[in-house]
Amino acid sequence: MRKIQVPLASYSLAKSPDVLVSYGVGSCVVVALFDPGARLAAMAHVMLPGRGEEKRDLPPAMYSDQAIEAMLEDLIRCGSVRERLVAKIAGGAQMFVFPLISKDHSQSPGRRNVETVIKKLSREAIPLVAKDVGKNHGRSIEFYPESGQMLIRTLSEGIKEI
Amino acid sequence: MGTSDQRFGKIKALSDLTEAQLDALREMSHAGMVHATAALSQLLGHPLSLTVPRVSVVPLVEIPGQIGGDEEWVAGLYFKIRGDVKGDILVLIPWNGALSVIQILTGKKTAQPMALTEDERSVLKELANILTSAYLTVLSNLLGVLMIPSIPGLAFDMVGAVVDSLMIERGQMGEVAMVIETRFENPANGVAGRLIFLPDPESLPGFLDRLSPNPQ
Repeated sequence: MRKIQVPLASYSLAKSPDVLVSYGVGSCVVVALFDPGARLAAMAHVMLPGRGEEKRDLPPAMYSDQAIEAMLEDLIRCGSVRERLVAKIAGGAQMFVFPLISKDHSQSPGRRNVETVIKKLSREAIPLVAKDVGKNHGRSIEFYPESGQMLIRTLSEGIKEI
Repeated sequence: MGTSDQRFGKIKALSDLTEAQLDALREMSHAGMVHATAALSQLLGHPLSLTVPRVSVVPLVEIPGQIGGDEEWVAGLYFKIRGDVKGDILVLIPWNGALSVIQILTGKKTAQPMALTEDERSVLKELANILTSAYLTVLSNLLGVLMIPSIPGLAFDMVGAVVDSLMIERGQMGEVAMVIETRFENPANGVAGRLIFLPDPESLPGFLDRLSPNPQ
């Protein structure tokens, strides 16, 4: 079993028994797409919501729309069946709250990231089967293509499985 | 087209700083930290030495790696800067150091490191406030610009999560930051901290021009 690191603004594919990991995720959103039939998964560590400018040379998963589209394409190229794919997401925290000048939480960048990812998944008709998002703490995330489990570790709440 | 392209073309980046400008910045930062030491010692009622080992300019995305990896526990204190030069300041204090700071300043050990009391959080905010205000006061005076820090937000968490929030807030990951590394020392325990200054892109040209070591 190898642990494949998925750093900020990138994505990777892994087949069981390998594991996909992203450490110290704050307002970013981690999106895992999983094909249980092939025990194949892709995971992106997305930084910003929506779509970046096409002409700029951007990291592959800087923006959520491009990241999800790229993962879908790669998964299908590697033998996934689109109809079998499901998604799990985690992250989108609001790490800092400014007592006097904070924007309304509904507008925090983390929240906006999560909402955009959920919309994109629904447009692509990929069922979102589990999520652990928001709050005010960082997360370390591991995804197991063997079982489809996502393990989430936080400082304040220990380890949780979704 | 692309007014943004034109705009970005004009903007100088922090990574374009000359060695002479970097020296000027080091000197100013040092002066700022000397100011901070005096304020801190007064607060404590006994001397506390504070040194500035280095000032460097690094991409924001590399900071977690320099501190020990994305999962390293830190206290992150985030200030928004308003005035003639706008931007952000992030003070990062490693977890153990933050707990030591609380102990030094309150005279008591933290009972629950995972759930700091309001008073303990205030101690960390106050410390970061002193560092940031002293730093900005000196920079403001020397550069002749107004810079006012907000009340800080505090996150006690993984450094990767703290830094990614700042990058998302600013919408850029490749951005470079000035990293002022501070060490505040008590004879018994050395505590390291970092002050990270990120002027906003639209404030940068003016800021860098004023940093010229030979102003006309």
